[in-house]
Amino acid sequence: MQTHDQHRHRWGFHGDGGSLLGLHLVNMLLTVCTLGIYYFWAKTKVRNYFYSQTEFSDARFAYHGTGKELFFGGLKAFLLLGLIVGLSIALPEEIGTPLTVLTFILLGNLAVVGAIRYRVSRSSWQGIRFSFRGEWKDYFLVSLKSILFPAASWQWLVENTYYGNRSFKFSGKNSELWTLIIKGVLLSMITFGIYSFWFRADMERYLASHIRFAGARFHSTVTGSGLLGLELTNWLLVAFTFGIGMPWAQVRKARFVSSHVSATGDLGLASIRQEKRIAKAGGEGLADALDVSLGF
Amino acid sequence: MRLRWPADYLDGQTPQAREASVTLAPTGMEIKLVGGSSFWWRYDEAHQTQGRYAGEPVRLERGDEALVITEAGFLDALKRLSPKAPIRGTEALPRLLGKATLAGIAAIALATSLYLKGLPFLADQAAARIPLSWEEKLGDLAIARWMDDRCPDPVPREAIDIIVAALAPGSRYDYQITVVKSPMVNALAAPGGRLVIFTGLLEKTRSPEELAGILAHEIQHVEQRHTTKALFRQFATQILLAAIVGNTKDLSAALETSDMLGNLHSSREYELEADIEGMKRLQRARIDSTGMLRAFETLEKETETLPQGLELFSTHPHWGERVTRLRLLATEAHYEPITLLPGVNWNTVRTSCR
Repeated sequence: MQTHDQHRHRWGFHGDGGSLLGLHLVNMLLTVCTLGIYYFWAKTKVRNYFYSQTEFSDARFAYHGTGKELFFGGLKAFLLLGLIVGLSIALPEEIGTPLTVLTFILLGNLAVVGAIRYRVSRSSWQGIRFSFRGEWKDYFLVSLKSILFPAASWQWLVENTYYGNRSFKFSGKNSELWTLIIKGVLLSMITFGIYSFWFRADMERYLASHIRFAGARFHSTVTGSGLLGLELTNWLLVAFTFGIGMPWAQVRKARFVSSHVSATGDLGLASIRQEKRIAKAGGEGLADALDVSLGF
Repeated sequence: MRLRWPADYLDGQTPQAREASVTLAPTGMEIKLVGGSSFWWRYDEAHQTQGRYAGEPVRLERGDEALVITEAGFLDALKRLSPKAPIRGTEALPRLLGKATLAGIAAIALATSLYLKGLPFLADQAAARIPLSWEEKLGDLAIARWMDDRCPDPVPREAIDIIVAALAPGSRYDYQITVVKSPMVNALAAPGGRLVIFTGLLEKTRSPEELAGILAHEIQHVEQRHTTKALFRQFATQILLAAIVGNTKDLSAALETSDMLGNLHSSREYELEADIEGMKRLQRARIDSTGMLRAFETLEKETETLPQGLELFSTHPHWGERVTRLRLLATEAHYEPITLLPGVNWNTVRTSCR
């Protein structure tokens, strides 16, 4: 199973609904039996499953996170939030309330970036870890900047992501992104949201084709009709089985995404060296506690 | 058994996989890189991170190094050669589900045993420790609903007082007997020494000894705090249920149950205990114990309506069984019985509340 260093690199997803359902059932039972404490281990098992079943260029990804570190991350976040809530109650209202709001905005940023850093740092491909090196302080500024310059946040996200010692590159342009966004939002409004699937597909294709790693360029063949079909059939699958079809829907989505994304060109693997940046799980714990969804 | 397997070796420093072959041995495996060096991994320093699902390549890791074996059957071979190796193997879906089911059953069993054993135990402990005055209040509350139908004639109560005094000398309970006008052929023991005798039963007794037999049984319930315990058990169950459901309405209903003593079921073991110990109590008081036998035979005829097969579902043990047991106990004891209530016409006593 030698990795092709050149030409076409395909994605693949090998999971199946049956084994995922089994995993979810076991997780559910154990979570109930342990009064919820197993949640962290359950989350890790599901992630491990998705990483292990996903293949890029004939080699599978691996997930290295553990339930234990997630548990302690969650515990820390819980204690921290408890402390803040306690302080906001103890302090006089005119100081306590604005201070709490400010703290939660800061924590929200910390949580998003912390969760990304944790999750990316626990993934590997061909024995080399990924890492995310963006700082949470920058995230706030980048978020502000991206209101006017949408490429800024993508650039920040992509270029702070490393595989070993090498980062990904983003070459998207603000003007092109604005064109896509204005067109997408306007047409979505006119069509009562139906165009939003084509809008999403346009965005995904644009973003993928502007991500590079060494000499390889990514691209996506996602279409609006394909997305609409997937979401519609998945919705039916879940609704008509009262949720039991959920694992199959998840698997179909993973298969859909991996069948549409690929990379071409030289990955430059010969020059890649291991360069770990092990992030703590506190950010993920915070994201969980604040109910911040990362969407990936 | 096949010992040599092709594998991909990742050194954890570069992303390029090296072709290798793995040779299994009892305590570890030899990894030989194609056209290169070979080295040794002990099973206890490696751990399996992938390959628990059918069709998924097996991945073993040692620190940053990893070994990927794609061909099926590798883990089975490893497990057969070294069953104690800390490698988990392929986890089939049925086995996973089996584990989950076991965990579920264990949880349910734990909850059930807590409910069946723990709760009654705690309730009994609590019931055995409450002060006498509380029991008396509980008893007064329990019998309050019959107070309007009390028999106004003092004759039967005075006679029963004498029998109770003979049966329970030196008791810590201050027995209070209430004769209630009702066709029910029954008697009951409320907590705190509150005894209720229904006239239906009183009229069925042919001698003071027969009533003494029934009283001995009821006194035993009081002395052993059977009713208090049963009441506490019922409280505990309802409070537990209310706590689980989170309903305060159920909670207040649970606290009102003390008023519904008549519906309270005593358990079979309590009944048997009261029978046997009641018989011994009679014998200690030197009261003719055949009276108890006759009274129970009368009660047996009254309750014959319950078919025999249903015995298991009834809280009271089957009468025939109880009478047989009591007869055995009665024949074992040899003593000269005293005359209970000398000079009293029992016919007058038992019918004075008509």
